[in-house]
Formats: sequence, C-alpha cells, structure tokens
Amino acid sequence: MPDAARSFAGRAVVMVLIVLVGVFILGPLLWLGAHAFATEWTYPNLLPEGLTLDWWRVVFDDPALFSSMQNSLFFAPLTVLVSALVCLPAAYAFSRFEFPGRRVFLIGLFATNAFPKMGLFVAMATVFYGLNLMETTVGIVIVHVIGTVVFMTWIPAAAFSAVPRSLEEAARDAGAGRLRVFFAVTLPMALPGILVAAVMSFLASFDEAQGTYLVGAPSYMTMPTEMYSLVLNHPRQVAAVFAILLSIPSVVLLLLTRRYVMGGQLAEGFQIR
Amino acid sequence: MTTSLVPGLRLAGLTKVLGGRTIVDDLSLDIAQGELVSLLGPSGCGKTTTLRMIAGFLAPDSGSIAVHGDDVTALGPERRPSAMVFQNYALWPHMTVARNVSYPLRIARRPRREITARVAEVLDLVGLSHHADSRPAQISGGEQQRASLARALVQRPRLLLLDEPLSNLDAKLRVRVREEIRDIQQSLGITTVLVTHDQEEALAVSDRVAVMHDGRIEQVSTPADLYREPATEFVSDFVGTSNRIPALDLGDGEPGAHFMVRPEDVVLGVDGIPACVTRVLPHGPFTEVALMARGIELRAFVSGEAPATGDDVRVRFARALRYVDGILEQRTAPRLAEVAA
Repeated sequence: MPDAARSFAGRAVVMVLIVLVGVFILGPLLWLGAHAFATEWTYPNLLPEGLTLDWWRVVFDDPALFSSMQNSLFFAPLTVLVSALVCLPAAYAFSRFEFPGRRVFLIGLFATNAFPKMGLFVAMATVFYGLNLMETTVGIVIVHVIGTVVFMTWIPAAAFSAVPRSLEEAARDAGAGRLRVFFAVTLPMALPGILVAAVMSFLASFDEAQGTYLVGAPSYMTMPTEMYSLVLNHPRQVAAVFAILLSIPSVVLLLLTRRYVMGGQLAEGFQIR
Repeated sequence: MTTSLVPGLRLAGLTKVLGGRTIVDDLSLDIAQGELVSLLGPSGCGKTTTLRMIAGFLAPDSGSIAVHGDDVTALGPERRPSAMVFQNYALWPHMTVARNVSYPLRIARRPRREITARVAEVLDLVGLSHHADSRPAQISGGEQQRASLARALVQRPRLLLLDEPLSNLDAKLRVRVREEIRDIQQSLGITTVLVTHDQEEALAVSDRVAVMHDGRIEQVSTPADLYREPATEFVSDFVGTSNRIPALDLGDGEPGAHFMVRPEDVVLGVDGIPACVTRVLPHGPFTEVALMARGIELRAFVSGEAPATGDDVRVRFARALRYVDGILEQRTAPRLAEVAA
C-alpha cells in the first residue's frame, strides 16, 4: 500500500512538472498567437476584446516588411549552400586526414564563438569598408556563413568519422574508385548529420540580426533586423504576427528533420575528440 | 594444364614498416590454386597487415604480390581480382542484403538480368534467399556473416580473403559457419586466405596453416604436420600446448637444447620416473593431470582412469621432439628414468 501511495505521489510530481514545463514553453507561444489575432488585449482582461486579421494585412501590405521576408528567404538557403561548399570538404578532411595543426584548427573554429559577436562585427565592418563589401549581398553572406561554420564543420566531421572505414574499404574491394566510394557509402551514411548541420545553419542565418544590421542596413533588411524597428514603431500585435512568421521556417524545418535531430546526431556532433 | 602450376597467390619478400616497427618482415608464401591457407598467429604478429596488403588496402614497402601469375602489387583494391570478407562484415546499412550483394556487379556494369541471376544464385548458396530484402540491422550476426560472404563470392574472385570472419559469432555458430565456409570454398575451388588467431579454427578448415610470429612465417604445414612436428618451439607452444623440458634435466648437456612433449604423449604407468600428481582437471573427454617430476612441472592428458591429487605415479614420454635454440632438431623418445639414471 505505501508503495502504491509513493508511486502515485511520484506520478503526481511528474505531472505537475510536465504542466509547468508545458506552460513555460507553450505560454509565450499562446500569448503570441492570441495577440496576432486580437484587436486589443491588455492586462486586466482575461481574453482578447475581439478577433481580427488586420495585423496580418498590415504586415503583408508593408512593402518593407514583405521585402525583408524575401531577403531572409534568399539569404538563408544561400548561406547554407555556401557554407556547405566551404565547410563540408573541411569537415571531411578533419575527419579522415591527419595533418599538422588539425586539432588547433578544429578547436580554433569553436573558439571564435567564445568572443562577443558585436566586437567581431565592428572589426569586420572596418575591413568590409575597405573592401567595399558594406551593403552588399556578398558581405551579408560572409557574415552569415561565419555564424554557421562551427555547425557545418563539427557536426559533419563527426558524421564522417562515424562511418566505419571498413565500410569504405568494402566498397573499394568491390571495385569502386575513391570518388564513387564517397558518394555511394560515405555521403549517404553521413547524410543525417549533414542534414542536421544544414538545418542548424539555416536557422542560424535566418535568425542572424546583429551582423546583418551592421553590414546590410539600410539596403538589405532581413526579418530579424526589421524586428528591431517593428517593435518600436508598430503596435505589439504586428510584432506578434511578425514573430510568428519568423518562427514558421524553424518549426517546419525541425518537423521535417525531426527523425534525425532527435536521433542523437546533434549530441554526437558536439563530442570533442 | 600449365595454369595449375601457377600459384593462386604468390607473396615474395613482402615487407611493411609502420611507425618505425617492422610489422611484416620479408615474407614469402606460395598458395596453390584452390587451396585454403590460414595465417595463424597471436595479435600483432603481422597477419592482418599481410592480408591488407594482399587486398590492396596497404602498399608493401618492398616485395610483390601475384594472383594467378599476374602481379597486382601496384593495383588499388578496386582493381584486384580478390574479394574480402571483413571481420565486422562491413555491410552497408543503408542498402538491403540484395543491394549489398549486387553492388560489386552494379559497379562492374553487368547486365541487369545477369546481376539478378547471380545474386539469386549466391544468396541461395549461402542460404539467405529469404532475407534478400532485409536490411543488415534486421538480420542476425551469422546471417550478416553470410551476406558478407555472398557479397565476396558474387564477384567470382580468383582469391577470397577472410579476415577473422568468425570471431564475432558465438562458439556453436562458429563451428557450423566455418564448416559451411569450408564446404563452399571447396565446391567452388577458390584460392583462399584465412586470417585467424584461433588455432582450432585454422587447423579445422585449412589445407595448410602458416604460423606467423613477429612478421615472419615460422612454419607452413598441413594441420596434422603442424601439430605433430612443429618446426620451432614457438609453434609447438602456440599450436596446442607442450611441455618444455630443458635437455639438461634429461642428462643431455647441449646448451640451448629443450625437449617439447605433447601432454597426450606423457604416459602414466608403472615404469619411468617417479612423479607426484599435483592437480587433476577433468575436461570431459579427457582429464588434464598436472605432475611434478624431479622439480619439473609436467602436464598430461589422460583418456582413461585418472589418478587422484597426491598420488605417486611413474611417467615416461611416448614421443618427444628436441629443439636447439628453438629450432626442431630430431625426434627422440627418451625415457626420463633411463636418461636420468
């Protein structure tokens, strides 16, 4: 009997914790969702006064906001592509070759994230002025790619390392040349890790605001950079609508790649070796 | 037929140095066509390195490798007429068993109809037809082993390389699979190199066994000869067990001389030198008896009635091999009592 009581108490505690965590995570989303459709919703009122789609119209009718969405959807995939082209070969090299300074480079990539970004961007701005990269697509892509380098090297490097060499050797033994082995065995087996890295990079680029603002504004405004002025210049319902729009790609991408992200690939990717 | 005179595999002066250590040291070996030869030795003896050089994953520092008379030393693994079964099977997890097995043929761009037929044939041979569409993770270790063998056989290789293919299987299965591998190898007549550290496995399936030690071949013999006439003390000790008796204790004064006596050649009886039984270990089919005779420890395998611990018995040696500085010299059958008397 005491056992049953204890297990009941244990379950009750777990339930309370689940509810608390649920409120903590879902509460802000509910708040956002309600605001996006509310005519007015202020403190003492328990429910919004009325429902409307006006705020969505405001966002989609504002040419600046609309172009910022276009910009965001342009820069994020481009960033992932450029980052993949630059970083994946590096990741493969880190994983498969022993070269002098390998560890220094690997840790160095990580260490760059240890410094405050803003300081880095100010220093970069000086360089960018000299190279005429301010307010250019190239400049913004460079800033975005820098923010994705760690994901795009560390996670795929771990994914490549996780492919047993004997599987590659078996393919060579079966008659495949080196390149063919890479595309038939190594790449497919490392793909989940690479996919995770691509999603993380996409989101990092999609969310990047400081560097984009510094290098791109005012010619190139993305959704996160517009967010700054939006919060100041519009009713908060508009900001709520925009925040929801901003989170759509993240949610969609995470749902699509759930299988891989949940599969421990992320945790594996950050094992320091 | 002159082709049968050409060895299926010829290793000539193969040498490999890794990290400043000579792993394989001027190794030469001829394997006849259709023959199964095991490379047997303790870990670190160079057997796996030798196999990897034969497969083409490692380039030898010097020496040459010829398969059916064709020098393949300079070729990459994808261009050698050999196929390997890996220790961990190395099946590709993202392909079904049938896709795994058909891969070598798809690479070779064989016609689709031929691929289907050959894959079906070889899956039938290893008894895996019902798992053609399974993924490697869905089948047992023994079945993965067969799938891996099928992937090697489908290439119709001139040379089959087996790298400890049974070490990941449990004991019962190991015995069964090794017999199957031997049957298939003999029915197809494929020249085969088997790498193993398991002497029982090597003796059971091989035409000849090459015992390796420190990067060299100590002896290449049929399993029976290897056991009955080990060329060196190392082989005598590594293959089976032996009592190593300094010759001096038998009244033989030559320095560096030893007698090696198999435990089954230590005969307990009424004549010979007196010994005391220190331990009795029943093994089922036979009993292992530890003895102390004139300060020398001996081990005897007794098949009939065994003495009890503490019994006083007399021993003689039915067969003993004499080694000088570790090398087999002559066969003798000394009776310890006579020599020592």
